[in-house]
Amino acid sequence: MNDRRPWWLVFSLLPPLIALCGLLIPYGCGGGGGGSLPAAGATPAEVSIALVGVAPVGNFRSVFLNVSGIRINKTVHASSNSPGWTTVAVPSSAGTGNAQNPGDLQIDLLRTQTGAVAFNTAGVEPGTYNTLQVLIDQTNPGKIVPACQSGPSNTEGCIDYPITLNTTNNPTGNLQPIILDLANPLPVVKDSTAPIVIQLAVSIIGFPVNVGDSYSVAITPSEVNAGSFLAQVSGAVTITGSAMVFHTAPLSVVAELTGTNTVIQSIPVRAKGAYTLELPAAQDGTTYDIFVTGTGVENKSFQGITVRPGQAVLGQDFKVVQSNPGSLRGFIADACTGLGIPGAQLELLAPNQASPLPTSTPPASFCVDHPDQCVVVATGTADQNGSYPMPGTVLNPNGLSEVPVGTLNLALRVSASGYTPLISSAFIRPLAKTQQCSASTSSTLCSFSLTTATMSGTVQLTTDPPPGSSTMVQVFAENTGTNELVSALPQPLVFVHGQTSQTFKLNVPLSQSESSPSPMAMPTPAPALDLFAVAIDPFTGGPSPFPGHDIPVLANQLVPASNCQNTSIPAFSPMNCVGHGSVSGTLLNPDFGTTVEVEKLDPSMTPVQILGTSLGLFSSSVPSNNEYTLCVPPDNYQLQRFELPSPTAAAPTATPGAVGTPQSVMVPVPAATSSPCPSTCSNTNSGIGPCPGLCQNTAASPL
Amino acid sequence: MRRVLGWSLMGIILTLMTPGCNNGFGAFQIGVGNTPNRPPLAAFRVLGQFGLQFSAVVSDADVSWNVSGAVPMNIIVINNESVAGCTCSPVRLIATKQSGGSEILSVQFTSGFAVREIGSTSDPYGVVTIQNNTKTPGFSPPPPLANPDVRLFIRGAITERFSGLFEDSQTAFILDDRAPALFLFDHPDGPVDASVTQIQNHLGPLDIDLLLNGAVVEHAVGGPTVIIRQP
Repeated sequence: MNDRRPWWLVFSLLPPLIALCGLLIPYGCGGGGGGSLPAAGATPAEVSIALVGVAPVGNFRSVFLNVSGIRINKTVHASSNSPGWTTVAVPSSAGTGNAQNPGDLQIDLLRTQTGAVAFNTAGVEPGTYNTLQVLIDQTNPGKIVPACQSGPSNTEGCIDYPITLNTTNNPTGNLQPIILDLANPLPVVKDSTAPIVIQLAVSIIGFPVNVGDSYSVAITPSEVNAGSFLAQVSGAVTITGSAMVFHTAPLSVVAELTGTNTVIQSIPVRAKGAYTLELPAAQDGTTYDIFVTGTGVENKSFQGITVRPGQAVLGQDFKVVQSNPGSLRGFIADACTGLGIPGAQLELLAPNQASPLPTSTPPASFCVDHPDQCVVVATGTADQNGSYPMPGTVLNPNGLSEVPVGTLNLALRVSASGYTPLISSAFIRPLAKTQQCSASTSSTLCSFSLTTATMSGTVQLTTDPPPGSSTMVQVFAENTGTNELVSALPQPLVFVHGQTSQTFKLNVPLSQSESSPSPMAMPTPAPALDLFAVAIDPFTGGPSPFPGHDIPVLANQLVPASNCQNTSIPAFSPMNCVGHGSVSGTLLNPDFGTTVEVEKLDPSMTPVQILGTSLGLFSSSVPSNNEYTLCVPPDNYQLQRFELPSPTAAAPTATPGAVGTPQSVMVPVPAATSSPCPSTCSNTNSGIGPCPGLCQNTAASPL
Repeated sequence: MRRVLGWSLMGIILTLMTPGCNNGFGAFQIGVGNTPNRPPLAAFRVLGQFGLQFSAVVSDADVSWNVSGAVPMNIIVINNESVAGCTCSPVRLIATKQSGGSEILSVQFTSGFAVREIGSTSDPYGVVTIQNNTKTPGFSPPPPLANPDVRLFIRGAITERFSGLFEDSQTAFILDDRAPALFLFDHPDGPVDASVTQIQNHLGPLDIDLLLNGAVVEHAVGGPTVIIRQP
């Protein structure tokens, strides 16, 4: 008897073995990295791309361009089909994938004409690159929002018009390449970061004739001197000590706008510990915080580095100790209901290394007492249940799961819209790795309860929507006398036919006297708030960025004195369907810290700021801009110029001050029409017409 | 011989179950067996500055959902096959940035690898609306809130890619997407369940919550495959 098993029996082991390997071996389909920060991969060299906009001639509120990526090629005069393209994908803030595609970075050229905006940084092979392609989303190239009366006579203003591209290049999949042969080839050297700034100029070839038509545009890219828009910050990172556990998160140096968690660039630290950041710099200066992170090193930082175009800030060296990481975790709850707060934000603050630190014994923490001398080095958010942090992996860790154990003087800043922000010490014991947070509601976790109060009011419409239609209204609250918004309804109110009045209850933060001192870089909770209501009106059925109803305001409404308390406030004035309107004007000698606010007087004749221009829009230096256009519904307003104490961009803690006297403007109500209706809303509750007709622009005097 | 065939069959099945690279991305539906792939489901991408708090109303033809959370978040409606331009089942998202800063909130409606609609705001507490059709739902009021409101929240590491089977008692969908992702069930028929497998396993678990009317009723953690069932 032959009891040997047949030789082909070995094949029976193959399928389960293949399956097992498939399950155990990490595999995927392209893409790498993709951390919680826009970190570049560990490649021989990096290229850092920034964009500058040149808006078309005309009176526009916004000119959006949807950029899906940028490619570079070493070949001279490379075409779309040439081999050798290296793609710099959209940043993680604009894309959904590991390589951050698909996704579009939507750039408003009107807001990028006075300075560069960082596109992204990516690892590339060293060499000289001669051709560059800007990949525009062919399906959705962008849109233009013109001021009223800025186009042909029968087109509306302050609504979205799509753009179509006037180009002869063949599309690449869904993307339309705009090719630029670099007059000055881009040299990329190993272990360095090569900066390049691309200027995108949009010119209008064809105007829309009717609502629903598009602008036909030509996009002209050009290479501009990087030194006119960027500044360099460089140094070295020296690591001592070693960790007991394996770290795979890359060692990186991160730059963020000072006092915020807005990351502008993240660069991997290369061989010999060197790093170079190429950062957008405004003519008046832009201020950054930079810190080192990854591989379990302590979070050291430089705070408040102000750079100007062409400047090189050298010697920003870090000497850090590597240790074992611990995790901060817990639950963020509403102090009144006990329910979790989805999306609540946590920021880990670490002292900047220039600050002399006392010898603290936890739970004492330097960053609790001096948050203004600390830098945000990691962030986290609460999930749908209020728990944090979101899970990470070994290769893609969550920042709050990579906190070096035993590090003193850290703090957690916890915030959520409508709640009083809170700051707590944060410490992870070295051996047990247990957490200790001074403001925690738990003895084992870093869990926090955020206090809040509510304000109850009523929104009214002059006319209820016609049958089958609706009107949505959002309510906002801001610190009185400022444009510092602190709360909005989680969902808009919905009015249907037959409804002209609805009540609302808005969560608001308690004033400073009722809470701990306000953590820095957040609006200080004020004892009184200004409130206003804005409709979310479509235009002929499609999404529209500006309302067709007027905006009622209430000034100086007292915040409830204690946690969980409710205060009733007067009803808003009824909102009327008035259509669109716009205001255009110029400023005298503006700088990066100049803004224009539209104010409306409330029933007690107190001004309430309802909208305005953003910081960095204006500059008297080249490239300059002193023009603005604002879309506001027809009404009587005041225009007020504001200036930051210092024109240095990105100083979020500074409060702008009013300059000069406010200028009164009247935005006229457009004539009613019966077709096409409904335009932005209906003037009656019986049918879709009449409705507001074409809007008119109001020219303001120079401010 | 029977044992060999059994092992071989099991191995082949396991191998086939292992996700491959041909499924693309973006709420893709993969055909089962020889059936062709189906169009991607309606998927909204709430992007912008990481950690930015937002709230939103998501609606299709007959149901609405109130959503709160932080950027980034992928929102996929199960039982809805809206594609760009179609009026078959219009979907809309109205998002409010719940922050007074100048951070960017970018909302995108994607179909597979293509961005079909995009809206963004950097205004303090800015509001953005996107919908899959240029005219509808237009002025129509949002449909009533989902009841029951059944959701799956996949809390994997950011951009962690997964493939999964999402089903109620009658209909199943096989989808690819990335974490964190919120799946909203439009009129689920009976209890729902899901089997989710990591595709790019970055050495960490998937973490899934099943929420019913706002409360977590089931939680599952693990990898590479996690199964979760509505009690």
